Amino acid sequence: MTRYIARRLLQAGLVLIGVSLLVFLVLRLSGDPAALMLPQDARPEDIARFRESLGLNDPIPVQYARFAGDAISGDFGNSLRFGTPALPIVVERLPATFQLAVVALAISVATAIPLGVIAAIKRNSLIDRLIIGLMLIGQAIPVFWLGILLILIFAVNLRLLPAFGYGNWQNLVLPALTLALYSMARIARLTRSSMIDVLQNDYVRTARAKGLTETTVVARHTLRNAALPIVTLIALEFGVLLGGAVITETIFAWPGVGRLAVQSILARDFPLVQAIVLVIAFFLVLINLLTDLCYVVLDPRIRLG
Amino acid sequence: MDTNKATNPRLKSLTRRRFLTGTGVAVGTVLLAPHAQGRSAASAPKSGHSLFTQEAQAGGELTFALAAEPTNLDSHMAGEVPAHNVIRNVCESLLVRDDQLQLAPNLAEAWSAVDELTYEFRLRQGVTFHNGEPFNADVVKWNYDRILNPDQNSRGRASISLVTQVEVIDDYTVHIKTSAPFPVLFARNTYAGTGSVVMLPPRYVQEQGDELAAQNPVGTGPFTFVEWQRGDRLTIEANADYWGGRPNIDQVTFRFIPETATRIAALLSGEVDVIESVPPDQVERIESSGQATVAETSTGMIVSYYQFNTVTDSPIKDVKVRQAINHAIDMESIVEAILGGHGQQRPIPLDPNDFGLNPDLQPYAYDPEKATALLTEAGYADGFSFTMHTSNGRYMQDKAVSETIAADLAEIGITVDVQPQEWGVYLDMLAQKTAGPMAIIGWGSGLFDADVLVDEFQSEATYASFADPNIDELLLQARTEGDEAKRIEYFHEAQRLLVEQAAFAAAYQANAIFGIGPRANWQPSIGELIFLKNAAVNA
Repeated sequence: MTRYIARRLLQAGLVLIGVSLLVFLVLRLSGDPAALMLPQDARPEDIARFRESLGLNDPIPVQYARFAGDAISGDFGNSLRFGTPALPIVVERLPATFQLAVVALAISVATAIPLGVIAAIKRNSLIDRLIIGLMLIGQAIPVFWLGILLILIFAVNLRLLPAFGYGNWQNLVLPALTLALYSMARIARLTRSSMIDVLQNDYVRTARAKGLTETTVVARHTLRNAALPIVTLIALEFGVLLGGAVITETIFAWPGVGRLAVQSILARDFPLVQAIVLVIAFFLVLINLLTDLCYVVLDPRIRLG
Repeated sequence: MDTNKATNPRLKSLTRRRFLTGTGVAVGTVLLAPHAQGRSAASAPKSGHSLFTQEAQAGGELTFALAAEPTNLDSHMAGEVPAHNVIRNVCESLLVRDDQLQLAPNLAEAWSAVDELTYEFRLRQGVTFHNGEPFNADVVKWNYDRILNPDQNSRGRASISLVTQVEVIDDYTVHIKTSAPFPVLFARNTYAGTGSVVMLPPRYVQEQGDELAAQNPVGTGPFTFVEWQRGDRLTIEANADYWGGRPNIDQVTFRFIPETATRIAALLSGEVDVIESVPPDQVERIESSGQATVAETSTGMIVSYYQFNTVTDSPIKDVKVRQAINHAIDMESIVEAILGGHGQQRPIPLDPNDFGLNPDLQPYAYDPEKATALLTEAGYADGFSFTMHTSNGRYMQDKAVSETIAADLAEIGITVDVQPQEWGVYLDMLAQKTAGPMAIIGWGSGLFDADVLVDEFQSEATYASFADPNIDELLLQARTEGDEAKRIEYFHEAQRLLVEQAAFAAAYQANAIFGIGPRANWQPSIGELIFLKNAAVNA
């Protein structure tokens, strides 16, 4: 096990290096922050001098070496717009991002798995069709529309919940619900099909023949075996929620990393984009590792390594 | 506004257009005043009586929702509007503009040109920064030096590049020396935005460093900075020791809501008291809600226009083609339909309050027949086609206006392919002159001086694309002409030529529209600048 973890950590390091290279190159292809940051009455020589002072005229390998060398010690440089160190700006936003992602994921998992299981058990019945319909709607509804709708109903009309912001649990409800819907639909669908697969197996028939209650059959024998792909999906969804909840964060003015990422990309704030991407990549790699470790628990047949 | 032709050089002749514009400005623009004014005429109450009480109470706090969050609160380093809107209430400049948009004393009590290359400011005495540092001539010198220092990379350096040095004459007198006459210097000392000279405390910035200065602004202004929870809120509170008298309100909290629908929802639900950047199509919704109302100024922050590219080869190089295009665009309909009437066409890309504005200008009349005739004269009876890149969301309804213009031009046989671009890409195209023969661009109005024409049309300006040597000469002369009367002459002539040569088309200025909740006793300033000194809470 330890050897496996060690190897995975090494892999993770390589992945992060690869990601850093990629984001570094792509950013420098995307344009030039100097002109964007200076006012419109700046002269070409001002822009050129500014670009020089940002180190952007150096050859790319030189720039990368400088960046990588600093990054190892946690120094991602100063954000071009904020004028303060980039990494703390990202880290500052992590709690909000995590909070939203975790709660949204919890809501989706808590609703999706029971729905998926019920749909699988009662396959082809009316309930099954209803649940499938719900899943389709959930995947089809645009996040943007849902978010605004919830705000109109609960904040403007009913005045039950705040329309935006971050702080207490009331702020969390609407954005988490908005974000949860899409994940819920996907997880429910996969749960259903995975359960259906497993339910076909002979040992399920045996379990039933043994006289076990349906609940025991489902909970103890099937669900755990159906869990593997579901867990994979949940991990994937979590990763997506961590970095990709941009629309929800924008609608609800949620101070998360996703929105910061988009703003920074549009502003060509290279140091900050690099910091954001690497932080998210780090967490994604971590989540993947933990998920793989989960597999062993779920299915003893799997041998790591 | 001084309507006496004898004393006000801006009123060469009171044409009907000028009168209507002036009245429109006076009526539609709500001015800051010591006593709270009613809402603007644009939002007449429905039932004939005031929807909200307008009686200011003492103290209290208001919440302001901005559409974007500042990133850097160091006014020398900030390049974005939201930053300046916040900093403007904490830090100050030497001069301000009064209700009539005339220069007025602020941290400086008197200002004058000593000679062609020397400008004098006499400073107000007894002013201290929020951290106790005194304000004096050394402070002014330090601030200028910091902005001009190439290693500092101040965003506003280019705007005062004509300044060579600052001399301290005595504790409260400075002389600004320039390399050429710099008539706009005084306007640069009002807090308009990036490029304005704003006073920061030297010891604080030097001891605490740039990074802290970027997060924790200290100034001489009516409000002190309290805290900034990034991504969420920023709080400022009344400065009891403000030299101009403690502001009425106790505290203002800025929230940041980028999504328009959410911003409006937050206003209607009462979570915030004032919102900025209301799009014209939402005015009706707010007004009819009964929960809030709208305050509008007819001079928004940006004047946008479509500049012609006479630098690269295309049919647009022919003045007749440019005039034809001007005649083909129905600006009145565009303002009505796309801006919902919440904007004005401009005969030249200048704010109507700009010093040096030529009052005799007429925009090209909408006349498709004349347009076709001109095109035929120029040899393009069969029309032609081109690609027009456009910004998307940068200026009010920019994409919609671009597409409407394309439709108008199609009527006279010119096929335009509109390509929306992300702003960073578009700005680069403007710099490279590859945005197309015709491309939208906008400039801020905060300086209130026709000097901006130099940035707009002088052939060597970074984003300009028009090249006319006569106009170039006039503009450059105007920029460095110390004699006010001569300066006005140069500007007027340059503008006359710009219109005659059709250097641009479809200039318009969208109104600044704010949403005001029942608790808020506040009016926006001309140019969409947010000053909170006179804000109050309704009783």
